Amino acid sequence: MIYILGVLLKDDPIALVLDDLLKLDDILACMVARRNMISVMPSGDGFKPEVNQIWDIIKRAMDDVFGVIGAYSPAGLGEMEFRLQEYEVLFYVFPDTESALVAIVPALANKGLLEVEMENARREILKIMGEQDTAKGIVVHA
Amino acid sequence: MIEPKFEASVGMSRKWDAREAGREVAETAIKNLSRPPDFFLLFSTIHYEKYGGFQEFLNGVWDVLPEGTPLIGGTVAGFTNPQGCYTRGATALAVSYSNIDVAVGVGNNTRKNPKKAADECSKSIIAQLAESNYPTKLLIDIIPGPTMPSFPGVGSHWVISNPLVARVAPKLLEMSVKKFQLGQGLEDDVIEYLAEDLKDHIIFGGSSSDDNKLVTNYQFVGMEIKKHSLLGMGLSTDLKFNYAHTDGLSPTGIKFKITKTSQGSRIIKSLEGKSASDTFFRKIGIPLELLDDRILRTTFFYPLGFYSSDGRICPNAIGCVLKNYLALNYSIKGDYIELFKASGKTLIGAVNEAIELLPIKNPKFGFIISCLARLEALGIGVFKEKEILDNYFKNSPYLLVYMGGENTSFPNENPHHYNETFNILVA
Repeated sequence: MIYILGVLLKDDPIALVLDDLLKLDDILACMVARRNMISVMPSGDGFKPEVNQIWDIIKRAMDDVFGVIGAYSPAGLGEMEFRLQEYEVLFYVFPDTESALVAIVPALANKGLLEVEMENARREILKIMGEQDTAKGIVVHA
Repeated sequence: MIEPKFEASVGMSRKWDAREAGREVAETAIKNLSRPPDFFLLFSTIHYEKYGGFQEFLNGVWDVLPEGTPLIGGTVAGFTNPQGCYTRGATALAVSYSNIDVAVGVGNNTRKNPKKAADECSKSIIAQLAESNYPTKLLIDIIPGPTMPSFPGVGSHWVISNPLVARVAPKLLEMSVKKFQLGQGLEDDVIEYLAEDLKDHIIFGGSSSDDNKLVTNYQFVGMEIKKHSLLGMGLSTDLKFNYAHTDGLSPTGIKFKITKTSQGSRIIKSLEGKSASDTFFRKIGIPLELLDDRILRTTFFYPLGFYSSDGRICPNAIGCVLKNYLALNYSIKGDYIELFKASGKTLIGAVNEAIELLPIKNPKFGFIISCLARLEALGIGVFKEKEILDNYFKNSPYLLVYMGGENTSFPNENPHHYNETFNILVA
């Protein structure tokens, strides 16, 4: 029999980091995503309603941007962003992966301040991912 | 002879609940001290306004802090300490030292009467420290920072393009400042009066702020929350302080003659005999018709400023554009303003420059006040600032707060209020 020793959590800790980020007024949506896939969403009711009407086109644009991220992340691509209508979409790339922490903010937001908390969230998520990888790697043979 | 005991510690909380955050920031600040603090500087971002309120936040602090600890502080846009860089949360610096006397002073309604507020605060501190004979006198001050006034029919905007509103806006702004205490903070007036009263003091302080939306800000003193009060923490001690001031700006040589002003030279109506805003924005290549509310981010790397009588660069943020007029954060001195320039590299370089100016290489602690406009411009770059500070302070505690304005004054020197600068005080 094989027992996998790990930490079983009721709440995804990455979702809790996204919940914290979403509490900031100017973060309208945030997620961990890659091309054509949203890996982790905030745990509550989802994004703020302002995003709903523009979500489809932003999602399509995001997927195109992830093409660039996938190509250049190994070369050290750290952050990307684009502006679409009255919104900006920020990508904080997880190093050497094709995934990123993504946030949608209003175009007139005080982005400098938001960048600091985006970076804190990226660091926290990377730490969690590292711990999850370590936990998955512990296997006991009985 | 017994060596006087000095201890300093920085605490922090990232909790959302105001009461819990207050408790945590106080607990973490004092847990490493072997005796109660002699003074406590407390700062938080604006978020607790919505998550329990600042009175609850302060109540949480006093759940932990020994009764009677001298405490001042206020809301800030962000902070950096040895644990990281943050634009949400609370932080504190606690100091205990055997050779220090401390007094707290308050001056109310700084915008209605800056002189009266400065006198109230300084007289109280002078009286409380009258018997203290230590050689160094330091005042740490917190002044209510600028807030955006609301213009009737238009709301709160950085850029007013309606010519009818813009024509009366200077008068409305003056009324807003004096009557409703919304608008510029008049911190330059406050610091001048403070320096007159406290000629033998080093004065080091800043303007409370929110998250750069400039809607509101708060000050903390003892168990009270204030909105329009000057706070002073007077220290009389045998500690030796050193200070450095940098800005990361360089002159472009592009100067403008100021031909008309109003509101005590806080509004520039015309430059070179022509519309002030048109003249300035044309020079930096931004057509006025394209100008929008992203003004601070657009102009930060081309700040306006002037040289003080003692040769210091005094950068002055543009608060708002009122059609043809430029409303600045504080009074311009002299007949000319100059366009300065900066980049992310020079802004971060200013931190290195400041440290190189300091003769103390192994500080006991550091308190740093930097402009929130630098935080806004640098964004993720503040993590590079932190690396430089970590390298300098090593295991000594330090606290950097991003505020809505910075001020300094030294014995036998002119007082200064600035924007967009980096100021470091170490002992």
